[in-house]
Amino acid sequence: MELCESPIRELHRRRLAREISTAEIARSVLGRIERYETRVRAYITLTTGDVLSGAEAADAKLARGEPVGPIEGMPLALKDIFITAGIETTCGSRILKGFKPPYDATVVERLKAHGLNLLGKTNLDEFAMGSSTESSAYGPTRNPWAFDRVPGGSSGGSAAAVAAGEALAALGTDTGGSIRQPAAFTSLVGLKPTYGRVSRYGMIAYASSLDQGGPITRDIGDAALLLNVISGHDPRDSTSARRPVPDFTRYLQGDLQGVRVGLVREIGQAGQLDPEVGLALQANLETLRALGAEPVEISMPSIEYAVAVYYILAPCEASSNLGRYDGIRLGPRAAGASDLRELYRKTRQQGFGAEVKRRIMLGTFALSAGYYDAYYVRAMKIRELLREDFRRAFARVELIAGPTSPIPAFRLGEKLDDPLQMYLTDAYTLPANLAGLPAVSIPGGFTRAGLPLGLQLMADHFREDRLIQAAWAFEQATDHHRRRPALS
Amino acid sequence: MPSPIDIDKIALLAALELSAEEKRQFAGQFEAILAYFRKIEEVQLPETLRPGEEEEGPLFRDDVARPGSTPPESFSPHVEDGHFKVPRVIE
Repeated sequence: MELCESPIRELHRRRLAREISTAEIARSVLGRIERYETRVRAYITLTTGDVLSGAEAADAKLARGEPVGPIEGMPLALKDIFITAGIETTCGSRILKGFKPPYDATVVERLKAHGLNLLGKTNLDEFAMGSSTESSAYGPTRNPWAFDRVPGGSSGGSAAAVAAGEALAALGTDTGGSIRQPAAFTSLVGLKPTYGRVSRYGMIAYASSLDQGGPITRDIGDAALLLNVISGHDPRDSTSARRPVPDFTRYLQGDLQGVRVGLVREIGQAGQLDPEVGLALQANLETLRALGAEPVEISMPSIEYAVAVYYILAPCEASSNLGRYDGIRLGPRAAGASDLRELYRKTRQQGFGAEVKRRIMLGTFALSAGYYDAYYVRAMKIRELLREDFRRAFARVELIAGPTSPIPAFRLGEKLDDPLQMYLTDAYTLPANLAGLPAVSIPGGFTRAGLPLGLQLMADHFREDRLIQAAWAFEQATDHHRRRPALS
Repeated sequence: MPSPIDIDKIALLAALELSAEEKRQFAGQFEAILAYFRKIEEVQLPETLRPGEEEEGPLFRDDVARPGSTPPESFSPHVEDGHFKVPRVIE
């Protein structure tokens, strides 16, 4: 296995033992980018010019006997939704082309304090609205496991970069599954923390009550490592939780003896399950059982409404959040407008793509006079019922398990003309966002054709420790996370 | 549940200028999406809903001024003399 395909914790152990250098790791990753990026197209902006010197600086510290943290100098990628001082941040949209933010997002600050060595900004669905990375204004990213298929979305660039060895790990964001579904489509670990665990300051807003940043990594150990760095209260984000952050790597141990794992009875109604996904789920549940877990059937009657509720509420929030892109302050401005309103309309017409316009329209409609109660208010009430379903469930079980996505990675273009079909693929991931719960997708097998599948685990608020412990135990019993795509 | 969407009216509210092709495409798609949304009408809502437990402690910091304003020149190309330049507003 090449260095660029190894987990960060393993690489760190090896560099501390002087078996390898950080520069060798960086050269391995840069070599992958040089060789495959034109086909994968994981990045919108590459900042690789300083990556080798960043790695050498870590090596120099090691040579002087100074302490070097596990991510120091390790080449990482950031979804192009986290603002980065002086580095173009587009959010996958034409409307932000050329925007160089004056400061860093909190998570970027925190990573920098731990020695971030940034490779670049990864591709995403425009404003994170999508499940395939096809709505990016900068073209689609391809899945390294099958170049004719999508890498999932919206953090598809981050997932594809890690899967292809073009980054050791990456950060994504998850509003309805945008970390977990791409991780599932590329056989990686994608962890969406509890809402409030990770600061949203400097993370470009899509749906503020649902957005949350988190890691996409090769294994759960690296996810725990990055979660340690990015978690914690931030006074600049009023929804950031004032909770102590444990050392998540402490939970990389143990088995699942006596852990009750909920299986949602209504799961079939919530999405059309591909038969191969169903078979993999059964095998994964057997593994959990063999590790000592006790499966418990639970009922969540509101879950079948989650897709409708989400696709009402998220566009409502988006229609408000995206009001700020009007050509006045940020990004390019449409030419030839004779007055202010025309400038807004023309800039937004030229700057936004179809999916963003669709969601702004849906949200504006659902919030408009005469429709607000029937759509927005009703959806908010059902969201509360869903949260109540989860409260009842987590009184009985420690974890809820299921597939991450009802289907494996689909072909590029396959769902572009049918937005509703695209929305329905989020059925299993978006309940965690609506309830603010932490959830992780871990490698859970492959279809006969070799497409990756994810196993999703959800836990109660701020119980990422349980996700990490269970994922660790599952990884010890399986080797799905050790397989790599045969890039050719 | 009332529908479908009056596309021109909503586009105006959303400050979006849509092409004829976009309007045609959206009309069909919104019909299918709104038909799906109608599922939420089935849900029997209880008389009262217990709101979720809130986070402990105050959510807002003390109301103390801090330096924080970012000069517009540092992020916007549309600035003149420290102000955002816009088309004429007054006739």
